[in-house]
Amino acid sequence: MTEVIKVANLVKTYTTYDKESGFWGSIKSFFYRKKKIVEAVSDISFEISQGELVGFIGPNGAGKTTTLKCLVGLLYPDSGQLSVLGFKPFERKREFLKQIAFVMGQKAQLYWDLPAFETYSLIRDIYQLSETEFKKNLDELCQLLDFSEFLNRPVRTLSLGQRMKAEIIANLLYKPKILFLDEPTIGLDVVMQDAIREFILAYNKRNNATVILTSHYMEDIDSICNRILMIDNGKLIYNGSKVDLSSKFVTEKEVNVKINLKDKLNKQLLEQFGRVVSCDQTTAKLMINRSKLNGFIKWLVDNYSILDLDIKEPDIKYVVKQVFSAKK
Amino acid sequence: MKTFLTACKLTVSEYLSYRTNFILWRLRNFLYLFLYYNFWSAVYTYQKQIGNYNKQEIFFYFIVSFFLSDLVFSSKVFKLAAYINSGLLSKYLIYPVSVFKLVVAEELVDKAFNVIFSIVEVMLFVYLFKIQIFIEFSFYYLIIFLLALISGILLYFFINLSISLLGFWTNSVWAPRFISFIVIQGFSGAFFPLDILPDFLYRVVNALPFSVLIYLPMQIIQNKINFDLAVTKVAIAFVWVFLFYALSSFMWKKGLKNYSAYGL
Repeated sequence: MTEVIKVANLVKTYTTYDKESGFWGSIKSFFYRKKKIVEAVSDISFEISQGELVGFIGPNGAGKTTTLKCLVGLLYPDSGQLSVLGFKPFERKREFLKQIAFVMGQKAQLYWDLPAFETYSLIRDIYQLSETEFKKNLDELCQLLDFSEFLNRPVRTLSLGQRMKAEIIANLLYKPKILFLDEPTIGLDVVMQDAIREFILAYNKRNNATVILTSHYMEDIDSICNRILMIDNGKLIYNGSKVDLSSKFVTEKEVNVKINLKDKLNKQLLEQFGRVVSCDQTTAKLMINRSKLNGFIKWLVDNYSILDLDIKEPDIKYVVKQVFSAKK
Repeated sequence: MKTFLTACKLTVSEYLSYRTNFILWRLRNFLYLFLYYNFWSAVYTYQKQIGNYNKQEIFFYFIVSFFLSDLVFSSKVFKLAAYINSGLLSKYLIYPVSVFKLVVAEELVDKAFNVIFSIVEVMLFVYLFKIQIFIEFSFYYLIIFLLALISGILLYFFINLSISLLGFWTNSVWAPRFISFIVIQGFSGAFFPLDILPDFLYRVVNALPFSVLIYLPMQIIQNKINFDLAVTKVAIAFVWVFLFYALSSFMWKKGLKNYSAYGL
């Protein structure tokens, strides 16, 4: 597969300053501010191929958005090599910008007081789309996102979910090859979150577009991405498939068991093998260390009449929680 | 060009989406005219001449300079500072088109609105208060007047742009903008003809670039400056334009490297 993004030893620092709290702190900071250099991204390297769906995860302030901003050319890196579609992003060449989109979940790109259609017509001209192409793409996107009836309403009167749809349409009208999505489902209800996720997957399939996504909703990552980049304190701590993520960081597996009604599960007995997440008389959910798994299953088969047994890797939310809470 | 025109169209639509705001904005201008009229009428009640200006000349000055102020000082470029501080600038940086194409489109629409309504307001005012306005000058004076006006518009744009671009280094440009607004407008001749100031102050003000904005075109249109001196002053004005252009493009290049796209 062709690599569309190459990042080697990327470093980006910010200069900020500390300010003591309270009135006296404000007075002091008026005369003297102690500068502080924060390394937001520290020596990161990775490559992404065309058509990949990559999830960029990490706690707040880990450096996810900073990396995305470097990749779209908004920030100048302090050092390291960056190549996106063969371009140096920070040079912001027109040919480069025409092929990427940056959906910022918390920022409106649309003219607030005007209907979304008006912004779309500006985008049509900025990206030099023909009228036929514009109409075709707009119809397709409106249909996929069920947005046609809101096209002519002023953006300020739209709900958060509708606005996010409008933003996504604005960013995809020109069929970008790479989609950088920063928290695309933030603040949306579950139905709308699902709609956006389905749409991103459909867009990736139709156009073989590369998607790089940051989100704090692990459901986004779980349902969209097949590869994970995990970042913490500006450092890349994992770069690999979603499937291998849990085996790298978590020693346990999730076990769901259901037994026959005539038997009764004993929580104390179960706790010998691992952590019991939930347990009633006939069903239990446990997190069991991989090394104890065989012994547990043998014990279960010997002592109970099993109706159902499901052993799986823990979900991504659990893994991320384990990784970052362990670090804290 | 198509992008530019569409951006202009969108700015017009934005202006028209707030009707009350729009009406009050114009009413404010009419009130300014009314206040000026009463102020100068009171001043000329007890004297016939102030400096080089009799009552009719000063009325001419305040009405025409009012119109020129609307043309020169109407500017939207200061919004860039807010865009930089809020991170909204990113929206424009992502577009494969120069940010300034969109900024200039907004700027021109703003000027067009101001000029159109200013003409109507001034004509209405002149008619209601029966003020006599005569403009009589040669073709060469007209050319040099237009050049002075263009230099003033460009100079104000680039001064304002430079101040807005301070947003790359500071979280709020409110204070520098406020101070510069007072200094620039005060020393531009927008409130009164600068030659009525005491001699020392007049010489200081004349050495600054701001008199080019209103006072110089007014001197030309009122035939209060000889042609050769006017040409020299316009030439100097274009040097100022170039200096502020160079400063703002330097700040833009440096600032982008400093831009942190906060707020995203």
